[in-house]
Amino acid sequence: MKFGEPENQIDYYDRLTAKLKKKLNQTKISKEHFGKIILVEVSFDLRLVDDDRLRKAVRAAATHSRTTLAIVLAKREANPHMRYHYSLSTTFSQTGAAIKPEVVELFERVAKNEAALDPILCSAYQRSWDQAQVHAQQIAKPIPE
Amino acid sequence: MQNLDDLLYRWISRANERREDLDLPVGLIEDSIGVLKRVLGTEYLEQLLIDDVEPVHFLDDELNPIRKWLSSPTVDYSIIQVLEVAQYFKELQDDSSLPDKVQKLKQDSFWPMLFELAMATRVRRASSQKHKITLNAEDASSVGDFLISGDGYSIPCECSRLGHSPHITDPKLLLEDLTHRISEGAKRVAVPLCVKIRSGAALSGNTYNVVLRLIRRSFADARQLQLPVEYVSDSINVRFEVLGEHSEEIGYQNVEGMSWTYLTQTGTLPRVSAGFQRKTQTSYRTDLRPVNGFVTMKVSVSL
Repeated sequence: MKFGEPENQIDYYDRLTAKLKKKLNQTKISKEHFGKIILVEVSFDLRLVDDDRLRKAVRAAATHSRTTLAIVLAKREANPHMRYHYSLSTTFSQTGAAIKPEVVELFERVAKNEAALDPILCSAYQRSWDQAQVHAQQIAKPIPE
Repeated sequence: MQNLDDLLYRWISRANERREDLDLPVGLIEDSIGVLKRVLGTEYLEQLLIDDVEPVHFLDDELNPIRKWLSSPTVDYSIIQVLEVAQYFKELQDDSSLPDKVQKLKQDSFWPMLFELAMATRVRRASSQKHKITLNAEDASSVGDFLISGDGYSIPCECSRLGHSPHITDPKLLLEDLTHRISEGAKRVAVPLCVKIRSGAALSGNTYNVVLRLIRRSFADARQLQLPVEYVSDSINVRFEVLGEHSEEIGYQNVEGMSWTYLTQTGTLPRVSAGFQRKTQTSYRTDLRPVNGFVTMKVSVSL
């Protein structure tokens, strides 16, 4: 496949800010709630983002919200274990995180589980990621005629 | 008249041929189909798999994913995702709001609902005795899609999706999607294919649509073994040939240390999801740092 060079790159960061602002405005919490958490499934690779721009984009949406506890970005991806997992980027309000550190710990465990837990079997992956890569390459070999 | 149980039995039988390669225990596939049938309902599955007589076209973005997956038991990503959905149903089956989510999933919101269920399940798995995770009913009074309840407080969690429209214009995503489509389409052609796509224009939404149209026409010819075939529109040229010793060599692309070609991918990796071939390294990082009143905790799973 060969295509021409794109003229303009889409600004994911502006789109993300707009999306977050919309969701934050829509989600009205009441007195009984400590705060709200927004989880957004994104289409871009979190490994390739500009961290500084991503932080600014998230902060631009959440900085005026006193009730936002955290914003979680998630990207659904296939992996060598032959499963789908979500890569995650989570931003916590510093104040909220200080008052409820157990919620930060909860989301840390969520993120760590993504690398360790088989989402279908709900148990630890049977192989390391390297072993899974080798296995995936083996079973992907052409079927002998 | 086909029978739903016969169809599902056939799906189970074919999927079980892939069981060992996919690291699945004996009985899981049967159990998962049972859960799916119980939660989604016989009537709904009959409607998808029997009443709907439109051909299942794997190039069709609008096709119901459950129908697509239950029509393709030899495709790994179909098996895996059917089992994944069933697992969420299993883990959330004691939640009184699951039927609301399932109803919405059946109507028009498959992917948003899958994301909600996936996130709620993950938070639930990670929660200790300090927290209880419950789905919220799909009504106007609910705040958020699921709720984290702690000692004397609760936190509504709202789920949303950004940029999974079929009209997205990100060239990388579009390229991956095209590769995937070719990989899938090539499985239905009796001979190995050499596919060449050349475009003077960048891969944008418009280019993608034109390429897709030409690919569909080419596949229609290829299935009839009318090869080689070539279609041209503006600056876009799509050519399908039988892959052989004399086929034009295509340069290797180095992706994160691993060399491979799209030709190799479509020609020799018929069972593997196209997505993960791009990611060959394993890394895991946690980064915790305060920035202007916010703490950013970035945890990415890299492959």
